[in-house]
Amino acid sequence: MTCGDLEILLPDYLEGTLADEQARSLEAHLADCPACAELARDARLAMAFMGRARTWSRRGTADPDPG
Amino acid sequence: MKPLGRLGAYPHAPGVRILLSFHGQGFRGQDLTQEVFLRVFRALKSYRSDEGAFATWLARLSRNLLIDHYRRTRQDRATDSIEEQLPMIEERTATSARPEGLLAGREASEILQNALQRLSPDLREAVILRDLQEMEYREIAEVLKVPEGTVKSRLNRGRAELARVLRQQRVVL
Repeated sequence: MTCGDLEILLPDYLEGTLADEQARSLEAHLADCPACAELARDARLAMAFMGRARTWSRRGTADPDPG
Repeated sequence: MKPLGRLGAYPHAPGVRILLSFHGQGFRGQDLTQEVFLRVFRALKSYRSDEGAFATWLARLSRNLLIDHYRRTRQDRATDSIEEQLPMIEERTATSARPEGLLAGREASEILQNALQRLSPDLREAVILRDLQEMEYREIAEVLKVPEGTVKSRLNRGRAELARVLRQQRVVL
């Protein structure tokens, strides 16, 4: 898998919709490519923050879900 | 209940959130917000409570209006410089790192909106349409008139840039 291939597949991977075989191939690339690993890590962190912000915003509470 | 009162009662409905996400992005964001709210206001007469929840109706209407807006303005928007799109925003985040558990819901939303405003328009719209508006990739590609691969590439870079901006604002991710 090339970095270009990963870029196309990464959103599906992070959203959990990538097929198992492709996911394994992508993970192997991440293990060997620091730049792609950083991209994936930051993208995942941003997604998680947006998810929490949406949840807190909907609940209108100062207390996010524990854990 | 007055129409605007009803809108105000749904500050976190998907449609309202997406409009608020665009608001504050310089004059174009403000224009869009004002235009869409005006059109929503006019369309309120067509809402019937037996057709479903008001929040759902508003989300659907907002999405359609947003797609219309993109189709109409995309060519014009593409000529804008990034600097022109970036707002002069007030730094409202604290200067010291805080545990995320201390972020109130409203504050988290404001931090997110401010951080999104720091992204270039191409990256910002990809993130907003996918992660906040939860549109399908096919829909986003249609709206932006770019291949799905381009949408996904912009989404990756937009999300990663958002994480970097949040870290710069000392938000613990």
